[in-house]
Amino acid sequence: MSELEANKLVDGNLAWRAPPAPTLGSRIAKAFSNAWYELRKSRTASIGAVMLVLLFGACIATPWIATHDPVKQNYRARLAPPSEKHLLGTDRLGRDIYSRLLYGGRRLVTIALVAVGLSLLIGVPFGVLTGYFGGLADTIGMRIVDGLLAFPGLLLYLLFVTVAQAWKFEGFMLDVVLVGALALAGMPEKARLARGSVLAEKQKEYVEASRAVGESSTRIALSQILPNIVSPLIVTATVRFGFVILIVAALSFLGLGTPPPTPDWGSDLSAARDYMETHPLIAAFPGLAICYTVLAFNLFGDGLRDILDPRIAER
Amino acid sequence: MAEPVLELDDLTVNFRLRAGDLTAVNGVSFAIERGQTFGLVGESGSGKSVTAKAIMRLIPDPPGEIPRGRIVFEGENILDKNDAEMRAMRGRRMAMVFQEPMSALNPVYTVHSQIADALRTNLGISKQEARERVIELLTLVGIPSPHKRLDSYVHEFSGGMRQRVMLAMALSCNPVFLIADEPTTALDVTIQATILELITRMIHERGMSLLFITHNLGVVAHACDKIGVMYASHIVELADKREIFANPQHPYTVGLLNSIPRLDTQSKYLTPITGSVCNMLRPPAGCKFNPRCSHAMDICRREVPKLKEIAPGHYAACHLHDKG
Amino acid sequence: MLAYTLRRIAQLIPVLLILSMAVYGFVEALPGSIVDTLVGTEGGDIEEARAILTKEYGLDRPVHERYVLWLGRALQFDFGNSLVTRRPISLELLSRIPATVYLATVGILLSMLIAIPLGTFAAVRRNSAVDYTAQVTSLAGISIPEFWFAILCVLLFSLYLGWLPSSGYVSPFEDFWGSLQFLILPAAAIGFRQAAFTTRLTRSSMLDELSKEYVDTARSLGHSERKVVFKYTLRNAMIPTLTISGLQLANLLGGTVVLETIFGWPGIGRAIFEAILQRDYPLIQAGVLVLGCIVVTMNLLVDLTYRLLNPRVKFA
Repeated sequence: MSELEANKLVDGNLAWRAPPAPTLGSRIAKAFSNAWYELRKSRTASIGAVMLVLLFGACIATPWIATHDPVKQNYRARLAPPSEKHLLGTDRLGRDIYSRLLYGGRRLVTIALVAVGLSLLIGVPFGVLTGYFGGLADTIGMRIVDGLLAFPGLLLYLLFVTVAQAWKFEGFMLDVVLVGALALAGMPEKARLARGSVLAEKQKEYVEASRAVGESSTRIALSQILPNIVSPLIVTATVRFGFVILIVAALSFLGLGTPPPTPDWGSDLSAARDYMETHPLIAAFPGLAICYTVLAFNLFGDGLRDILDPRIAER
Repeated sequence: MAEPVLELDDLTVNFRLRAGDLTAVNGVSFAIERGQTFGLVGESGSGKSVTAKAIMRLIPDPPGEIPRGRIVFEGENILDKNDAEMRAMRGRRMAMVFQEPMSALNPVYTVHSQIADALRTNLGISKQEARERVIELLTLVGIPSPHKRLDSYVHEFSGGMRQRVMLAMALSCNPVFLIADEPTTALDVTIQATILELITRMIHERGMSLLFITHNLGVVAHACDKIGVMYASHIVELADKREIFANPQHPYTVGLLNSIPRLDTQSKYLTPITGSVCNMLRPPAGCKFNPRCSHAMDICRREVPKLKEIAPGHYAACHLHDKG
Repeated sequence: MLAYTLRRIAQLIPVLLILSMAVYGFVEALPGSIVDTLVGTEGGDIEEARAILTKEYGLDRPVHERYVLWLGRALQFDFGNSLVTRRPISLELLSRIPATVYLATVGILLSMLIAIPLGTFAAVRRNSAVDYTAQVTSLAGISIPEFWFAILCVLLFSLYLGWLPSSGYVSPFEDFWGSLQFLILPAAAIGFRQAAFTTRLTRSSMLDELSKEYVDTARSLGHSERKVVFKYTLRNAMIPTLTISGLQLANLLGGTVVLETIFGWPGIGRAIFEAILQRDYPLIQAGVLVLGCIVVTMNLLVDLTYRLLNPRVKFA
């Protein structure tokens, strides 16, 4: 209905017919189609998206595109340069680097996704609730967040992994602990963001208007406030992915990750150090893999930020 | 008759945006005489602020560009001037007051330092002299106990006071021409009148010319001698204040005047102008007002009407006034 | 301002308490006890040794009592002795923390020296060659793992070119010029990554500020573009930038573990890491506690500095 029609005089009175209220479902659908259109606007986001699709594709397709068993050693073919048989060559124990990178990447990306997802699941409700209810809950909540933030750099993870290793956790269980530590450490950022947005939105008129109409507090919180914090949260989460990858790689580089022979980019890098001078490629490939992955997330996150944050439009 | 202080001749400003190309100011022409107050009226998006910035040559290039037209200020086409020459003119010959003083004044510098800096840049006076001048200026614009407020920051002032500070800063170097871009829009109604009165008084005391930009016809009625009505990048009507109010000749102007609530008529309802401003990235063909105009004719949808003198000193851009 | 400061200091205390409880809890979460570790390395009469040590370490008392005892001693900087070296832990910390602070500070200062001008230039000359270069390099800088970059540096400057030593440390107080050669590579590794962050931050802050109206006001008064940028815009943009740089410095204190390991830098990060490998739990506890306290304090200082620099909140 065009606005001209809406302004038509009906019975001598101006009739203003409001458009039908959007349902949550139609809003989500619209958001997705908008998102697709918007994504193409930013070159960085598009490149990042393509890189991510390739990455996720490789992770999913690993069992089919890997050429060798990543832990199978072959002493006769150790430290071989890239060839037809071994696409990226072999490491010091004769294991195929290409396959190791694939399996290592799979694990790393899974850990990252789960960790960030968890930190969102814990952090956002935490932030929204403390922000909305304020008072004592807010104070205690923020002190806890501050406490978590007091651990600089890798220290929190070091502690968690130490405890886990002392309990002789291995493989999967160790990864679980790692994911837990990552989620916990990533939570403050999301909680603060959520809380900040809630505090800002609390002031706005439409919350008062909703309350005046009689909507319950929780419904206001969820339906009105949440859609507005989605954008910054998505950007934060995307950037956090990159960080998580770097952290896990650093931890395993130090030898605190999952023990060999599990393929892992960080520990592969560490092992390659001894052979760096004579076989620099062995150290190059895991490093490049890390760079590619983190870059993909960062590009996508950057592009998203540009799209979601209205700025002076220019060519 | 002496030459006008400012004369715009077919000024056109384009913007190259990611979303497309946009003409914000299209063939705008008007003149402001010495000591005259000119009101530029229009809704948001009509191009009036861009016109103001273009006069001060504050349009960034890219994405903006001025493909044609002249801006003749005190006899010289300032579009020909280089950066250094423009800089010398800004503050000294022409100055501007912006709409929202909280964002137009720098939050991390004191009020005194900002004004004093302008004084010293343009007039080259000493620190001590600048300090005294600042106090003088603040007194002039009606800020109480100025010597105590020198080291205050912008956010420590109330809205009306901030606007006074901005006025003081703009007038500090004694320009001959002031542009006021919606100076009262962000203020409470009660303060609006005071600030308006202050601006007009200071202009008259100093014999300055004023370009007053607003969307509020009521304000214009009080303050301005001549009025130009802008719609979607064009000047659609241009005349003396009395003429515009008594005898509007463009449907848009008529619509604007009709939409002001009046106490002296019996109508129960407001009559807004139907529809909304066109999308400037994809404007309609012909007269940009035609979708909303109740007098729209065939020719209106094909040809852009030119601004023509339909009575002495009264110009309108409308095909209704085409002769023959 | 004063009231705010006091309030924030008061808020510190519960945070530090939570921190100390978390740190203490970490040791409690370990299987076995200190006594097992100690006794395990000794031979001799196990039962008697265990009894004595249990008494000595207060393990016959309940958890909260031990915690309070430990906390009480910690507040007096008495962290007990290292299980490995048998020397007082406080001395260990004292000898190792300065090295990390030195490295981190130099790294950050270096990075700011490059990043702030670069970021400003990139913002002012948007979409120019400099801007694209800055954006690409800083993107690379945050995507490249620090330790990989460090390894590559060692490969190039140490092994191939032989210009710099690959590891080691000399105190600047002993031999200033000599110490520099050991400082360069690790500081560069830190600096590169930090510079990438700071460049992006400066650039985006400057872009934000440059789009604000007061910049046009300054121009309308006839100030030169250089003055508008450096006096009026940069000052505003530096507030968030410096604030975050301060926070980054605090975070670096615990983030240098990997670099210190690669370069053999005797810092606190490496000390804690080695303590982990050697199961020197009291040292780990003390180290994390002290670092955590430093970080929390630094965060507070940064926050206060931000308030001082930003007149809008100074008097709030």
